Amino acid sequence: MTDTTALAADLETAVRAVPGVSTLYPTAPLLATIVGAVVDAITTRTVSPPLVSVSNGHAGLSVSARIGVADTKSAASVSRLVYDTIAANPAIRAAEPIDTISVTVASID
Amino acid sequence: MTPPNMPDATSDWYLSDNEPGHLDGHTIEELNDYLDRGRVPANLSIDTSPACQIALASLERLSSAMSSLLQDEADRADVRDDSWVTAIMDGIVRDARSGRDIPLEHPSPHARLFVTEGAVRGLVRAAGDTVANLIVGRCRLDGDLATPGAPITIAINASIYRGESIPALAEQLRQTVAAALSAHTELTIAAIDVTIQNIYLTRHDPEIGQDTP
Repeated sequence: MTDTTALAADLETAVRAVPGVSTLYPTAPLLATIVGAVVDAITTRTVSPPLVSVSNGHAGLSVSARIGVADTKSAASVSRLVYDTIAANPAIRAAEPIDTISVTVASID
Repeated sequence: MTPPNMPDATSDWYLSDNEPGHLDGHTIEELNDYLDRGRVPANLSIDTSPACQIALASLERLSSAMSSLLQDEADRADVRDDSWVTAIMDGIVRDARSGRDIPLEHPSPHARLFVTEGAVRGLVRAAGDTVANLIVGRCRLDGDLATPGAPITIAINASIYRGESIPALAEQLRQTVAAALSAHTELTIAAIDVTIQNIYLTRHDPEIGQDTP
């Protein structure tokens, strides 16, 4: 079974490094993110909830990211670059099968 | 495999009217106050909301445009109809909502790529606000956004400074918005309809220190 938390953190770093990505937004509602952080505190885990979500389903691994794109880059091109970056991540390739990789451009700054 | 690149019918777009005056739980007044405080102390709920970020950017541009108004315009506030400012702020809230998901193409069957309607409207507003002597009031995307290549229409309401050429500014706005949409999206634009709704503003010319014209 894939360690989705570690993988999500790894992917978050990779997505942030994609040229044109200005922001990474939570994929879960903020309330759920905050609750997740509280649970982490209670269990003395220090990790913050990852901004890239990774889940295991019956059809395989699903990855989701919501990004802001700098106005100097094409939003469509950056979204494809983010997809390609996630798909090419060694941990993702090792974790196949992949169900979906979702990338949503939520703002163009 | 999860169904193909189709927008989620249960997304916020369909639920957003439950809180018509709010963006992710925040009013435009709260966002304005946050801007006035220099975004300090940091508000996680606002800072992690794309809708709030789009609205804040629009408010900053509106504030900059408003600062060019003459003081005597402000002094005449008691006899002037300021409803256009309220209308612009209402438009900012409506336009910043996430709205529908617009698919972007990718050859992989695993890819689900989207740009939100709110991001596109924010792009249109930002592009429109770069046109001198014009402020975008509201923008709307009309048409089938879920089908790649389907022609859509952009409807924009704007206010302009008194004395400016409406046809010239409208055409400049169309060209600017079309260029921005072409650069960032894969939308097929059938038309960009511009409505100049208000001509309330008086531009301040610091060179001569007078209203122009």
